[in-house]
Amino acid sequence: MRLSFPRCAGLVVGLGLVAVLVSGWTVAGGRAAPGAHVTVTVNRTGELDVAPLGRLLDVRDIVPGGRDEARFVVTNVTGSHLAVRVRARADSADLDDQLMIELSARGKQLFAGTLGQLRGPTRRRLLVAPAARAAFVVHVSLPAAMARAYRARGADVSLELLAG
Amino acid sequence: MCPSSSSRADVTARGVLRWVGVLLAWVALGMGAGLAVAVAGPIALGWRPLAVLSGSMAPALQTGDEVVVEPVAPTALRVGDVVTFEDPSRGRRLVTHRVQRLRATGATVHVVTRGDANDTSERWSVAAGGRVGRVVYRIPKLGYATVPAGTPLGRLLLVVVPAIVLGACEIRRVWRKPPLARSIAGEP
Repeated sequence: MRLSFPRCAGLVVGLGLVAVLVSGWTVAGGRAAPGAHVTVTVNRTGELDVAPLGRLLDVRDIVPGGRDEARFVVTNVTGSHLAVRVRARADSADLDDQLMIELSARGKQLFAGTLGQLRGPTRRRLLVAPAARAAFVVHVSLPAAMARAYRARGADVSLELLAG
Repeated sequence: MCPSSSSRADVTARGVLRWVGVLLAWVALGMGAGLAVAVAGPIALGWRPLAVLSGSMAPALQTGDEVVVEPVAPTALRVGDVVTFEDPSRGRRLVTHRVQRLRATGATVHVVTRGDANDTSERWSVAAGGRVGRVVYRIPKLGYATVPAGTPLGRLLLVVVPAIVLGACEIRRVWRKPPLARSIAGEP
């Protein structure tokens, strides 16, 4: 079959029209890659009261460079001095190497490192006198430069207060 | 206007109409070929065309639309993507809905999806190393043609009818005398 000019032109126009139409029929998808989902909770012990109780932070879609802060106050409910240390428990180890945690109280840093490192008790301890209060600040963040390993990962972090 | 110029104008008008007719016919043919390539061509890349059978994703996807999905790793998904997955709550039937939430735990990705027109979500999981279909584009209403074409009768009509038409054209061409032979036979 001989392809004359109108046939060639028609074929090219038809194919071109479909190409234009299909490019307009693309289905809009998601734009932002999912970040990490981090929750932080803290609970009272027999010796230490905590306010507020329970969930301090619920951060959805935290991305590299992102940082969030929570505060809580610990009260020594015993009649003796207590040396308070903190450790973390998490429901999964997915963010152990990515999630950075900083803990400070009364202007002093108790801990700065990864979630995995905080699974053991902090080396530094905070002395709290009987009936005294101590304000804690906890920061969670993801380093600005990191691989995609954090995407859609999550960790429910529970801070445990250890009094000795 | 003299009769000779009038007949010449008629011939020219008929030629133009014939030219436009051929052009339009081939534009339609080109569009048909283009649509066929848009639906079937991506299969070579491992993509898959699927017909939308319900309005749960309206207005983004309408009943009867044909969607073309590409296989992607679940870890490459983003919230807002429209994905096709086997819904465990519906006997592993293929469902195409939008991602609402993603959570990866160990080697499993937990996904929450919902149809744009639905009130309820579905929760399902997939291995992080597995594959999920992500909708790339849709072709409106083409599903109304591809679904019947997938039935035995549709396949029969798509293969047998064109074969009969082609065969008839060939027989007609063979039986018709060539123009040169006719002119030689007409000589005194």
